[in-house]
Amino acid sequence: MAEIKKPVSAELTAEQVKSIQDVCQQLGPVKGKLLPILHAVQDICGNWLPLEALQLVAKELDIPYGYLYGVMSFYTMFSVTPRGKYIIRLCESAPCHVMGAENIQEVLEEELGIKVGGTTSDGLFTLEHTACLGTCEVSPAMQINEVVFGNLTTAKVKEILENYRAGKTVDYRSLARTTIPPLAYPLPAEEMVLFPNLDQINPMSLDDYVARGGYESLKKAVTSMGQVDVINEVKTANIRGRGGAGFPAGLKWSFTQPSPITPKYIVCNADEGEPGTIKDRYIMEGDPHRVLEGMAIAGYAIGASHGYIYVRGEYYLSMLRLQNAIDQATAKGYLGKNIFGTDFSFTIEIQTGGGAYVCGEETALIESIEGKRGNPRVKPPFPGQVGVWGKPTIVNNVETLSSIPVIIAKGGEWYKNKGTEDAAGTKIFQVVGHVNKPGVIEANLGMTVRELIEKYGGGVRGGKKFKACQTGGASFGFITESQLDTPMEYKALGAIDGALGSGTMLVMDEDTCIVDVVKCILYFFQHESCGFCLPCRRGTRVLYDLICKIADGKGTEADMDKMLKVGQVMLDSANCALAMSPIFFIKTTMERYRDDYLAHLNGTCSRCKK
Amino acid sequence: MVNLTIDGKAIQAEEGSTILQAAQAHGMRIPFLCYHPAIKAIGSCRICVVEVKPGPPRPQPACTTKVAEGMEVVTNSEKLQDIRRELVKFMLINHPLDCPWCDKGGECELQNLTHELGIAEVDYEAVRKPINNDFDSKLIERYNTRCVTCGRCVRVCKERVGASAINFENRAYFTDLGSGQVPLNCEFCGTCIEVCPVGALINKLFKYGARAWEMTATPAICQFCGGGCDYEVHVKDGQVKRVRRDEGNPLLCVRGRFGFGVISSDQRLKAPLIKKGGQLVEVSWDEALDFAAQGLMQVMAKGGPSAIYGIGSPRATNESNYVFQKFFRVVLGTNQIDNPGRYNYWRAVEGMAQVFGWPEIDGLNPEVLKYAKPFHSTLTLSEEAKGKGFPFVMGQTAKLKEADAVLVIGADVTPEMPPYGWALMEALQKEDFRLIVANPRKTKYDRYAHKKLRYRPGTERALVLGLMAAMVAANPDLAPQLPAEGWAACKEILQGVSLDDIAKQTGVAVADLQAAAATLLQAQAPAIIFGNDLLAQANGKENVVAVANLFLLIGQPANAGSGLYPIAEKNNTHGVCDVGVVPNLLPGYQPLAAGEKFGKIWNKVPSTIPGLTLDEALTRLENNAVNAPQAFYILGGDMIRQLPNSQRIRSILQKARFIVYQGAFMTEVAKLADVILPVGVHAEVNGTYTNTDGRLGQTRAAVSANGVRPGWQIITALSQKLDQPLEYASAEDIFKEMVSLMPIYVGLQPGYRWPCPDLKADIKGTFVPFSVEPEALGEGDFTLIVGKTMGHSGSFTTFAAGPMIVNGTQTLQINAEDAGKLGVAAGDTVTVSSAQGRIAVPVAVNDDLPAGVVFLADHFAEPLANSLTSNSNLCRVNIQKG
Repeated sequence: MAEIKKPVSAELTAEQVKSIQDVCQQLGPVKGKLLPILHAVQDICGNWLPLEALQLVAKELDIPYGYLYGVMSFYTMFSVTPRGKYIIRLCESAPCHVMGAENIQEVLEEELGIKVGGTTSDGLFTLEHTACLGTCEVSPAMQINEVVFGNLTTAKVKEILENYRAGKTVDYRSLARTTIPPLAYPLPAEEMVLFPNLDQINPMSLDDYVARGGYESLKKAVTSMGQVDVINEVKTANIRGRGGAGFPAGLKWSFTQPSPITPKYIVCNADEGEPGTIKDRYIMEGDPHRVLEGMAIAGYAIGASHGYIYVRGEYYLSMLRLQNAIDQATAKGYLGKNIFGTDFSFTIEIQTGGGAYVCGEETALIESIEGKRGNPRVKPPFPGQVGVWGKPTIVNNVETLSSIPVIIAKGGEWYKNKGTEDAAGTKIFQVVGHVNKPGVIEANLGMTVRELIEKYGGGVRGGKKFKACQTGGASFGFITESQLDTPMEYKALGAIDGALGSGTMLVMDEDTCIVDVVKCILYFFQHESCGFCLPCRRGTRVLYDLICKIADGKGTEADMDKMLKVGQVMLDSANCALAMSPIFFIKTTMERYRDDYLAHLNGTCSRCKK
Repeated sequence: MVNLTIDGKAIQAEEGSTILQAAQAHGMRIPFLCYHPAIKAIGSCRICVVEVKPGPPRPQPACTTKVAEGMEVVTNSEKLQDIRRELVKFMLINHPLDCPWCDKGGECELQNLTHELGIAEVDYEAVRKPINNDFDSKLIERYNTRCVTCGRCVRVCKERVGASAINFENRAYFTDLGSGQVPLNCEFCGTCIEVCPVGALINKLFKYGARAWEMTATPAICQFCGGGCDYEVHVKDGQVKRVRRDEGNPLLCVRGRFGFGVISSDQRLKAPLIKKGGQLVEVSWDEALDFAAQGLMQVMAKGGPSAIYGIGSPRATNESNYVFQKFFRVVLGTNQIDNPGRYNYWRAVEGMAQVFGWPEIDGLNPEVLKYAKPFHSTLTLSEEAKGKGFPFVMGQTAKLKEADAVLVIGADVTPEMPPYGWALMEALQKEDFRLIVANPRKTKYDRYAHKKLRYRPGTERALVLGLMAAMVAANPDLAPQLPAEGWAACKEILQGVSLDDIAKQTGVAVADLQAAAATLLQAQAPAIIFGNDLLAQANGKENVVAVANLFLLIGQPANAGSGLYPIAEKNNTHGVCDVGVVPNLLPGYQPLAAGEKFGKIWNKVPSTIPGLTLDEALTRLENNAVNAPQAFYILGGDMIRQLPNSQRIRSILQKARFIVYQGAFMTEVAKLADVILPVGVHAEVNGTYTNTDGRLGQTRAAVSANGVRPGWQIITALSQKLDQPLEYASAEDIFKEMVSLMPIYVGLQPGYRWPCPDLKADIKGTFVPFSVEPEALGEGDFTLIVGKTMGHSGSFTTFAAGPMIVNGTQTLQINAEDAGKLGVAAGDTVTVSSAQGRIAVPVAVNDDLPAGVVFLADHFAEPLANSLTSNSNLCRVNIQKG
């Protein structure tokens, strides 16, 4: 990130020129297709974007080159320097970090004979770092082009590279799923909301989905319920947004439904980028029609005619399954014009991200859908009034939307009776880090953190003692052993300066240095800040440089105070939640794991010296 | 209005305004950095955060938070000041301490903020960003080390200029301003420099030129297009160092911002010259004026006053042009005058007049004010005052943004009239606004157009006919909203038009015609912009008749923005016509028969015999016709460059017995002169210009004329030599006399436009039939368009360093496919030939041109584009490699 990305010049072949022109002509007229076009052009040019290719795209789309470059350079998946045939993206975020990603980096660098950022002389491999791959259940993990390899060890890395060198590559389309099945199904099938079809159906088959009652809820909604009825049902269910902020979905819908402005849009937020968060992928890969059905019902409820699914660029298999599902559903009339013979028409398209965590923020996501840099907008106005293309837009997480079909089928009351008063329904919980069995389950909200870790995660691995758990994702507080009996719901976790967030729990054992983890997380934040607002643009980096100073044994307690001060200024003045987060884990770690900090100030951290 | 309190003070603010605006309106300061009044607020620097009750628990940016009834705002609590201090400290991390040599020193907003907040120490550190400065781009230097990432430049370039040439690159801490790691390739308007709060963007022409506090600012009017932007010239030690516009409207174009070098150009004519023994030699003013007077008298002695022909100047002030026509009408006694607009803008005037009538204003108060402020009209409106004629359907730039549909036809907006372009950008912010761009080649606004009509060069009238026919076909009951004569006959013609035939002739598909027609028909406030591409054709006037007919059909001038927007080529193209530098009309478009009124003031009734048009005058001399003019008195310009068929113009002028050239530069025409009288340019003189809107701009002498004289003073001096002195004390004095004779200028004063908005108008039109015969272009494989390019205004700006840095050489623009067929690449020389002549010119490959169409600019002396043309800006040419 620190280097200047000067586009390298390369003469394009006549075929490449033609292909680029074709892509631009095909997608160019569709609003907001800049990122998909850049992805396609990058494929055409062999995993990178030469200056000439960017200039050609600019000319074909009649977008000034300087502007185009600015958009492109926001997204880390694009490269303006030549890359190898295989791009190895090694995950460097906290869940992989605590599982030893740094060792894997050493192995890769040695095996490939290159440093991170380099390309092997045979042009085969480029080694890159990446922020969370979203496969924390198999940390440490890397992705080679579309395929994820997890639970990496030295031997495994060597074997994979050998295979790739020998041409024995993996086709991601042939995989059942990106990683491993859910840890368990604690709920009986009829009590499940999100996972009832997982491993029960072929995710590429519409018939399978329909055979298990698929699209019945959509039919019920559009043929027998009014818009307000649907919204009321969702309100009754009291489902809160599953992306992390927990805003009641039905309430959100009810603000937008009355707006006379059209068209309206439904956006499904599938930019699963919060470190430790791996839940939406399970639904998209295992039961993609559920997502579509939920979107269509939401679309009906608010009067939208089009939906976008914004999928993070690394989720190739999710996109494949979703696109297949869209094509099938459209062919069968579950999507498209006059659904179930009614006046309701609804179409869905997939929009791709390009490696930017901040695009999970709903307004940044909207900007990205519009083909811009993913800067969060200043709110108000909220997307419900001014969203995609300036029109009323509902942005909901995959998990939220996927809950809708069952809510409509079984009723809001049925749903509300699950979980707790504060957090109704079921949720996909994720437990990652130092546990014996990292992974996901669907369970009723309100389960304690301890039960998740011990019963489903199999307890702290290797018989080690529990030290800390970062709740909800990278943005929230750390909790201690004594706080593990807290039920997983918004209120209770909030009360101990933690958060439900996306429902992920990153477990750290006694060998973990908290300063080292905080440094890793702050690296992530300074890398993923969009750079729009000053407090975040500068504050995230100041925090990272301060924690590095502390980690290096060069800090003082004054530097710790300075971190708190910076975090507070960011909280008080920043534009979006990204910059408001660091204060929470800085504060909780300084309060609860002060010894770890002091050990670094004194240069006596034994964990980091090992 | 909304009631709220700011820091305990109860105030009222306009609904929809922001807290920042409300505070500013009441003289309360909230510090800010990313906010700029000319651009939309984005709330990214957060310096302006304030506490708002009721509202979110965290402080909110004042620049984006709207006022609400009962709101309580705190702007200056200790907590807020603390946040601001920390944020400015963040900004100062690694900020270079190069203030001593940073051009922004003394007017730097970061300096001021740091000072205001009392920051004496920056106790934060962060890694240094890699240096990413840009010294390679033309005219503009970029210092990312100084950049505070406020994004004003990026936003102004995108929102207001419409160029989007710069953007943020990368993200997070490493977010940087840039143009894609290659040098800038933009319009070089430099507006980015103007809005930069710090010294991240530097004007290369100004660099190290002066400290901010060393310069004096004088208001002036830009001379480089018909827009007549008002700006300030900043002068140090008698030299113009830079020009700036006000904060609320910082927009200027490349020639406006960087073209002031014409003033101090080495190539300026500095002393009078006369021809002695075939050589031009420097002489005193007195000798030159004697020589000029004698030369003119000798010609008159033989051929009478009508043997002398005057050509006015679209760059000279109204006052100079007025005195010029008076010199001919009173001192010499002839109407033999015209202006170069004859070949361009005058066609718009005549075409619009044919459909909507000549301007007439009746019922003004008979008294002429004795005491009026300088450059204010001395005439006043009475209750029954009424006006009519084409000016009442002409639009004005400031209202263009309120139009709901704009058709741009035969104009490349940005090079010809940047202010129209900026207005279009404002209009484009409205969701329901529709833009239709019709041009044979791709122009800048194609990017924003909802419909593009790519017609064959010279088929504008067919296209307009097609649009009108499509409207009638779509709505058989269609009738103009304005009172109009001849609609029935016109409709019948339109009903007989075959859209297929139109499509065949123009190359525009029937469906596109229909779609564009539908858009215009639906519009409540349609506007039509047209310019040089259409006016400079031999049939330019008929083109305008067609366009005016279309407007008569769809126009709704009562609705803001709806109007005809012809592009006046130069700063006073409109004015030179207004003040009567035409052979058949007195100042204010009054007929020669109205001469009695003028006689009372002029002490001589002007002749009622119309003079020849410039075209006729030149043709007569060419043909040695009886009564052909034998001498010319020319106010500046370069007809050889600018008029079609340069060789012809040159050889005709060579036949003249005597030429007086009163100009600023040694142009091709000046080289043929017997006397050259050097004249002052805009920042050296006092006076007024009338811009394309009819808006009066006042220019003031900001620098010494250094021996050259204001145009009117030279003319009056010459009148003295001819023993019929025209006597004026000042430009104000001339203006006062002039406006007392010009009812159309009633109510006019600097910054106002004519016709006076308080004047009741009686608008009506007549549908005037027009032919759709394509222009005869000669023979050849390619159609050549000679037109305007960004950076230049006529020949004038080719004498200034700034525009020449950006656009310094003539190139033949040709598309890649045609270039390929000719076997030439960019930079290769080709020979372009027509029946009139041939030139060798380097090629620039430009896919904005369609196949078979090539383009040359009319600005450059060498090679001369107009040596190929015949009587139009279009002609057929052959092109050969080498």
